[in-house]
Amino acid sequence: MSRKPLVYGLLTLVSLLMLAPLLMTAFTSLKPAEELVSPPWVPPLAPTFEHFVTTWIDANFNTYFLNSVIISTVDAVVMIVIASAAAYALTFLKFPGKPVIYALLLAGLMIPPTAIILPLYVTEQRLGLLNTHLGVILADLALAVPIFIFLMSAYFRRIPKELRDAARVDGASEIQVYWRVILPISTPAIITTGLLEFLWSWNDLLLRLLFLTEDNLRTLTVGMLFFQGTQTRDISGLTSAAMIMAIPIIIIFIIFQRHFVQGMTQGAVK
Amino acid sequence: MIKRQIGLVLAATALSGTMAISAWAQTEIEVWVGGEPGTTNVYDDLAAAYMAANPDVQINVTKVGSDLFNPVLVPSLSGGEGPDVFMYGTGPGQPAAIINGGLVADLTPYYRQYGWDAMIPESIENTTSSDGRLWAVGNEVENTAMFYNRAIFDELGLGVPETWADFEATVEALIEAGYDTPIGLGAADRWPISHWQSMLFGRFASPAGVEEVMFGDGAWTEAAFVDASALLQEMTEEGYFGPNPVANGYAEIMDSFWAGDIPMTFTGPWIVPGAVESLGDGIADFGTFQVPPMADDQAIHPTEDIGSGFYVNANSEHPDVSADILDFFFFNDDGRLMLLNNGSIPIGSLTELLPDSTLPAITADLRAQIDSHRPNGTIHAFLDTVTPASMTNVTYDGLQALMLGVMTPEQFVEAIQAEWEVAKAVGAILMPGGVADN
Amino acid sequence: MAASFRRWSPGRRKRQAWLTAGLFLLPAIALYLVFAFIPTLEVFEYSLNRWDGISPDREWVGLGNYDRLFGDRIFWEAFFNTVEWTAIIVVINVGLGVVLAAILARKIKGRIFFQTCMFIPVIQAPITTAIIWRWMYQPNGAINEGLNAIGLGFLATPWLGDLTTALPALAIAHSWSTLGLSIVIFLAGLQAVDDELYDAAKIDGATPIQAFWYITLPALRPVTAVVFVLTATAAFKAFDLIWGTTQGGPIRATEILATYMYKRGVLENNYGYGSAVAVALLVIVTLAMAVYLYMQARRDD
Repeated sequence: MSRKPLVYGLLTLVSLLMLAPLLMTAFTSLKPAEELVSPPWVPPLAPTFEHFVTTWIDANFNTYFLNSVIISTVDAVVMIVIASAAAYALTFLKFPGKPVIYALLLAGLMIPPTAIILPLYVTEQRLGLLNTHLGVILADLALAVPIFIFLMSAYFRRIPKELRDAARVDGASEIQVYWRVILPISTPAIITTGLLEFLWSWNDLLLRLLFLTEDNLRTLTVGMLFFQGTQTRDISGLTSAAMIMAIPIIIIFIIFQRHFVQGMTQGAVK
Repeated sequence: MIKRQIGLVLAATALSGTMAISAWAQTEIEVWVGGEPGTTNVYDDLAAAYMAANPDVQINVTKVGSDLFNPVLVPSLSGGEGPDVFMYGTGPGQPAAIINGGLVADLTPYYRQYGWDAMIPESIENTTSSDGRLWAVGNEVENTAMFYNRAIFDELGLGVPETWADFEATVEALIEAGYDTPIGLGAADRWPISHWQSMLFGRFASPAGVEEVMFGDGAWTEAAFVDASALLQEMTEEGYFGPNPVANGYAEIMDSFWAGDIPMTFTGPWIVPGAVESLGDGIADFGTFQVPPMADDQAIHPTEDIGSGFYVNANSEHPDVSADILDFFFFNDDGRLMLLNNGSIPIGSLTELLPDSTLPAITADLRAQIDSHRPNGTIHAFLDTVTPASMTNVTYDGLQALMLGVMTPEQFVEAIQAEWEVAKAVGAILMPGGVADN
Repeated sequence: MAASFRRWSPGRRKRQAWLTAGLFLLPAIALYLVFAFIPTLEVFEYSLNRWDGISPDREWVGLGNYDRLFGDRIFWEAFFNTVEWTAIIVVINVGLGVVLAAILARKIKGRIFFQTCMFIPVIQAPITTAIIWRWMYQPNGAINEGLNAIGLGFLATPWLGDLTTALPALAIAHSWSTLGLSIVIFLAGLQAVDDELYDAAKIDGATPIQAFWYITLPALRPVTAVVFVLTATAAFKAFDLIWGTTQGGPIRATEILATYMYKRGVLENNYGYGSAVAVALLVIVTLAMAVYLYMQARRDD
């Protein structure tokens, strides 16, 4: 029992460290221009939403927001399907050449996007994908799919093989097993994949800046960049944009986080 | 207003004379701009003004983040795509690759046709041309100067220092009064140190001495550059820039400066528009002065450079229209006045424009100072943006090492000279500057 | 493995197995090949040339760029910085991550609140993270002011301006912005652990720490591998935070391979050499990950 204060002490300390910077961002985004010289940890004396209005309307964040939602949602949904399908094959199916696939994917974990922008640009150009959301989505999926295959595989490996074998014996096809048996008991892995891919896609800048040069196609991260110069920055624009970007993700996280604990008592995996 | 309309009509006439485009055809011109937040909006206005006078031209202005301009522009240019007109760094070092790679159009014919030669100062022409041809049009002039807090100076009975001894006394008085950072310097961001380096190098070597290295056989290892580097190190050691300048970010230093915690900082007018917005009339508490000569044989040489230049894509289908747009933006009084009122100073003489402009007093004041010292010759404000990027990186590392006291001035100049020679050997430095006469 | 396989698959079934597996793998693998793997092969090809990334002609130099790389003092400096950087991040994200996840997985009061707090830094865009940590680490920033306020002013130091503290300070900032990911993945992994095991352990008189050691940790082994790989590769590729704070400085104290590659390749238009740095980075990390995963798999068998 004496450990409880220790546990809560640790949790509170870490939470405070995790939360403080968001508070500073929020404070700054609400400060009128004349309060900007005060330190970021000082709350605004006369809070104002004017920067949010400017950012949302004048800086075109309403358009950017919609574009980000489209790209990130498609990314997340498609990623769940293709990564879980590939992980299913790698975990449950026997076929020759599996180590080759593994090695191929392993190399993919480490590809730094900055290094491949030139050839990737040429690929997108040849396929006519420049200035399309599809072009960004396909590149997003390709660059992140290895890690999610590994994540899904790690989860699938904990599912007893007998579960799949029994279904097969009952005459279900592989696709039916995958869709009706394996996916329904993999909610935590699916949620994690969807959430992380959504998040990474939401926050990615380089590919969007590179492939989307038409303003009405651009995303939040690109819009945010215009508040940051090499010499100066528009801190009100940056922080209000940061809050606009953060709030939807916080909401999504709160909605989905119950899934991280639900599976525990249900004991679907035994 | 009337004057402006005449300007537009003139521009339209000039355009119809140079182009043979059927009235119904829409010519689309893609323009990519980068730059500091807020400063790029003026290009939307400029484009709108141009389109109003030229209904057959559609200009799409695209903003590209300044820090990531290079990785975005290079793939699209080398892929044969990209904008018709774009902003990019200037010479002799920065644009060598795109010029040597044949990606940008030769602007020399337009230079003659539009009479740009009468407006582009020689120092700027040098950094936008090579092999006798003009490659870029400088979009704005930038200077650096010492910004100071008048209220603090008045309170301590300090005046603007006229001599180096005055300057040293001023710094000491400020330290004594409890300002542990007399001169703010955001050395963590690296480039702000180069503003000091550029000014000190120019002062110690004189404009001719720097040009001799840039475009002649001179070397960065000459005594003047060693002395300049030594002074920067000495000032750091004596606490001119506060206890930990290398830990300071530029934006944070500027916040402290406007908040009145730091009495001086060496920077440029690009910082003014943002400050006016947050300080309002409070900006009147701040002024600028030229750093006094560091030795008897020195003069005050104002620092001046163009931040960047506008280039025309060699693959553009409409080079003539592109050039005409550049002419309207940067050489036509209406365009120039719009730039000026947005806080960026167009190249060339401003005598006729200034009375009509709404330039903040602090910037107009600085401009007047610079013009009064201009006969002494100007020096580079940003050596880091005109030397090749490889040398810039070595310079940044070296400047921080100087300030942290882990490198001697001699080692510093040797390091940059070595990189300079490498860049010269591989043709990354364009020489000589200037557009050929015929 | 090979022997049992042969017994299992005569020709027709082998084709069948290929077909079924192919169907599942095709979307992921096809995308990966076209948009990631083949471009990477092209980067390898660039690395055999002297090329500015712009001009139509490239000069074939064979392994010349790699030869230069091995003698490049700054490359090695960046390499060892990268190792130190990654080590700090992995230790924090795996170590602290598993402990916090284990605590959050228990039924404690305010769990949802704490869990959300842990995840908040992850959602910040990289630009924001850099700005935040500039606020934190300035000489008069939040950390030093905080230390002064609680009487620990003697610990205040110019974090990012000091050659010894800059790299660890930024590594901690990177961990801060990614720890929530580790926690989430660990939590997902903990769902597979049977509650009855804990109940049984409790009846047997095991302390919570013993339960953590003997039940939680072994059960999390496969997920730990994922977190390890994810954290390490993300650390190796990290760019935005360093670029937004120190750009590799002071001097080169925070220069890691990702920033070095960017400076050489992109900023200096030295694409051939920058590509060689990228390939070296890719090979080193892939080998390291392969060795780790191989050892992990052997331990599991």
